[in-house]
Amino acid sequence: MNQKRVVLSLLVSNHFGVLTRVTNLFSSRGYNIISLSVGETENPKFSRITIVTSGDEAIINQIKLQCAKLEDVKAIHEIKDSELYMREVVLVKVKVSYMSEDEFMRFVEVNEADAYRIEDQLYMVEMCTGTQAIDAFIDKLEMFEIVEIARTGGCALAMSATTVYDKQ
Amino acid sequence: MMLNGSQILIQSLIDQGVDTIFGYPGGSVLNIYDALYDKKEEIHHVLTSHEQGAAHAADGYARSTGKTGVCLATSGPGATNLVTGIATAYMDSVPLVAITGNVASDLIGRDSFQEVDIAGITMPITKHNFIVHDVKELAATVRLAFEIANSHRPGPVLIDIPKDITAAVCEYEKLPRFEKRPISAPDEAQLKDAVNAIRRAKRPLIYAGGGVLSANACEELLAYSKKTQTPICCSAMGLSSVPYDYELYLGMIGMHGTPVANYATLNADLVIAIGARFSDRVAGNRKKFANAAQIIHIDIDASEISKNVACDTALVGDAKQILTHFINQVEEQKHEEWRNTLVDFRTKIGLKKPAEGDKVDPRDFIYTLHKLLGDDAIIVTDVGQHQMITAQYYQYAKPRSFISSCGLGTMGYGMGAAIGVKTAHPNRPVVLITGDGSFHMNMNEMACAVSQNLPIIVLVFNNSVLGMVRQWQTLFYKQRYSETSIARKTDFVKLAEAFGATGYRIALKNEIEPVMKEALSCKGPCIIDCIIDPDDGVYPIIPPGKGADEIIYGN
Repeated sequence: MNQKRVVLSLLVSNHFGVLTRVTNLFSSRGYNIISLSVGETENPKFSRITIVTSGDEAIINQIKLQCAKLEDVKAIHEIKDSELYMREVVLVKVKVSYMSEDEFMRFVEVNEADAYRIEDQLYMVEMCTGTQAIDAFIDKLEMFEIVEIARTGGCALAMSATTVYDKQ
Repeated sequence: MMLNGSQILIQSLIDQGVDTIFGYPGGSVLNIYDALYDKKEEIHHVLTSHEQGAAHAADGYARSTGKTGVCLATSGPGATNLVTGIATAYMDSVPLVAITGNVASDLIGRDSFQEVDIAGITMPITKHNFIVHDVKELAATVRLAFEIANSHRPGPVLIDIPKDITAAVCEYEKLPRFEKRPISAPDEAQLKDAVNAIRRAKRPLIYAGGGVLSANACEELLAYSKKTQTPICCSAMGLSSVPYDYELYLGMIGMHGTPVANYATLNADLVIAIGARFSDRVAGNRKKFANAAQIIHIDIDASEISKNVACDTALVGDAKQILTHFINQVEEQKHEEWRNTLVDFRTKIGLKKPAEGDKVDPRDFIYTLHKLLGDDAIIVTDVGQHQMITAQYYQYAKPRSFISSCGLGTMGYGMGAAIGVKTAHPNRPVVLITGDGSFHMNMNEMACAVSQNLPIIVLVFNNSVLGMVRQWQTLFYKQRYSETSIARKTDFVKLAEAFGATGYRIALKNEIEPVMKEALSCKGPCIIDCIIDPDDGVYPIIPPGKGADEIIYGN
């Protein structure tokens, strides 16, 4: 069956151990996690976990139903591709030896990212956008010396009136 | 009323309807045992030999009664010893509340003496678990644990309580008895589809699992089957949901199921699965299972629908309600041709016939056991050949009379479970049918059975080998008997006497009846060492991963 990539938004109780329960479920049943992010919501009782996963239709269905059985999972929203608004953040520490600071700053600006000089030729580059644009930007940065990368998982909401609360 | 955490725990258990718990004391639960000392009249504590036995006992208690089993253990090794028992209950959807003490809050995370992260360890084998951080939350947590363990698909819940919480004092207010969460009704359109499919069917078959027993839907199952003349087969978990002498009962399905039950799956045009999960022991080949049939899957757990075998109609809800709906909606049916086909097949190919001669064949021992024990008996098993032969041949009369670790296949389950069952049913005969391999695992619980004065009959089918594994070595590993010829020197009769129980030995067929009669009159537990042939195998067998058409009859 066809593999598809799916973004799931989980409304969960905001106490410790909940993330472990969710990730445990994925590993114990052999489901894939492409990316994951977690944070508090407007309601201090709840956190939101955004999981990008993949599988055929039957597996995606199982993932949703198995997650729904967890006591701490209050709602699950599969955000449709057509409504998906997803952002992630990447930080890249990069060493730039053959461009001046001005040239590098222009290069970063053209690519709609931000940069700060740390010392000498060492820069902190920051970008917040969609996953593919970040992948493409990292490819471009390969021409310099990438020292280290930190990348968040995707965080997403539906570009529509639909919310995770509708799925409770 | 001001109470400490331990008193609150015990009082909360009483408030939730608990009168029996199985456990073992230790450092982190000293306060809890101290509180129990004052409530001995209200809660009967069964001291097992080992915490694993306590978990299995709570499980057997729950399976045989439908009530929640409760076990209690100390931190560290006490808690980890429960793990196999909790996993066993999880796989077979048994309502269990396991309570563990832990080291005091200020010692947690410091690798303190007897500290273990039992909540972390049991996360994948519980429906939910709790660490109690505040004594004020304790009573509500206990109540919630019972609610979760019993709601929808039952299962185990663990409560871990740090020692300081068991000493902390707070105002206690009695909470009402837990209530099961409401079950939503199945989809209307799917219900209509199901009724239409039933009306169209010419060769329908019911595949009943443990969910029928959990839903207390045995009467409805039988009434539906009678009205629509639909034959029934059971998964191992579903055994005893249908009385053995019901004319449309085909027996167990799957790897060691009856020939006719498996034949029926190949030829049915409609399979109604009720509270069953199409495990690999039923649907060895998921792609081939009941290929000619439409499948209606009734289950309380939505995640079971199309998990292993895709179904055509999904009814998520209460089996009792759904069967009642069917009984009301569907007209009387007759499927004479189908029925004749099955009867004809069963006459030609039945289960293996017991061997002739003087030696004991466990098949006719188990087949005739029902006559000696009566309809009231509850049969507990361990895991292996004896378990499958018991599943195949014992004549189950009443619901919840077959107590066995079917999903996890826990060798050593039986002795603890039998203690739980006999504790719950002191006036019903309880027989543990085990093998010499399984019994060696947890026979320490004989000490508990003797102390508790529980007249359990432990029937050890002794073939001096690990029969089931050995059988697979025979069939699939060129008879290379690696580590399965255990040939222990244990004398089970002397062992029984050493424990303070009674021991018997059966080597010949004609000894069965007199020994069993004596065993039944025992005031305490007894062990019967029954010598059987090491080369005997369980048949039929559908080899792992294969379909019902690849069955090996072996006779």
